Amino acid sequence: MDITSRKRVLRQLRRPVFIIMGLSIVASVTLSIIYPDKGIANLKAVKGITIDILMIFPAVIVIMGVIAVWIRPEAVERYMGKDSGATGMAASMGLGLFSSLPIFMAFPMGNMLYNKGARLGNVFAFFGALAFPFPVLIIEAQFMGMKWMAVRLALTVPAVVLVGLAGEWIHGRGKFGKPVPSMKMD
Amino acid sequence: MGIIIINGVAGIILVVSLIADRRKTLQGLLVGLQVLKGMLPLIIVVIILVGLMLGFIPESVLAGTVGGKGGTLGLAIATVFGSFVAIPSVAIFPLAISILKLAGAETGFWAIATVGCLITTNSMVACISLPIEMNVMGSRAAFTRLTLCFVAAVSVGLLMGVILNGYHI
Repeated sequence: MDITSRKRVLRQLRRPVFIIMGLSIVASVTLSIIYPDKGIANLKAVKGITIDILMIFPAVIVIMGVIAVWIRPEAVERYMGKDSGATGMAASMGLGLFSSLPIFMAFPMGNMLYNKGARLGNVFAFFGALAFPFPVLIIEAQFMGMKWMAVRLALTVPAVVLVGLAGEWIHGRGKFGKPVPSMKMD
Repeated sequence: MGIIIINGVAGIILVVSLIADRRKTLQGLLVGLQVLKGMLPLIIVVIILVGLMLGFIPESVLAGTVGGKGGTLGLAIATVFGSFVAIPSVAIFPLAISILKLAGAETGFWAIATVGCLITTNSMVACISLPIEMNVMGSRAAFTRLTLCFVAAVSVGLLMGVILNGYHI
């Protein structure tokens, strides 16, 4: 896809986001003026989350970019393709487990995997595995305890497999999204 | 802790990749930056919305409804909240702990299931990014996945309530 259509897709994506952004900034500022003490709590929450998100940025850029250049279409077809079966599921979930992207950053990568020949069920399993990425499991075990983390993981893994299989079956041969321009490597 | 590990892993991957092929790695970093730049407005929206929620909704209101005493109402609130507000995992677990602590010593089925559903829907159901998912994956695939993930997340949350009934932090 060329540059102009790429820009058009991006603009289309951003319009509703910018409207919500404007409204929520106005709401935050107005509420902070009415309730100054809660405005401080608001700023603290914003600061904490901003730091958390900024800290993961380098990892996101590196892991995502490096995976994008190194993953060969043939390899994806071999491990995540039409006849991949249980190995493909495991490979997809492993990819999700270790790439640990925020879900909205993972969509372009899922699209790329699909357009490089991965099964839809495996792409869904990759998204699903982002419910339990490696760093999140560590944080969860720290806060909630090992037992909580283990129980959630043991229940979520089969749930993600079922979502992948059922999703692929329901979706069938239906139309899929256009290839993402920025992820198109060849 | 998790952040340090994942950045460390990323650093190792970067070094290995740089040794293997410098040009290819730099090209990959550019791709990563480009995608990140495209998603930045949404990240900012999430930050502001979470600030609004955590800043202006009184903790007592959150506790009385989702603290286990609310029953199905609390469960429904946690599920909707978890589905629509994408709280980063670094923030969701401290929040979950504070809700569980408000439930007191007896963390019964409802308290566990409510917090369980909050965590599972937050990690599996991404309503806030549905427009992006529809654009990237197509609306049919996006809706199919979202519906199935919602069912799966609530099922896992309820099962956690059954298995972890009486769980002590």
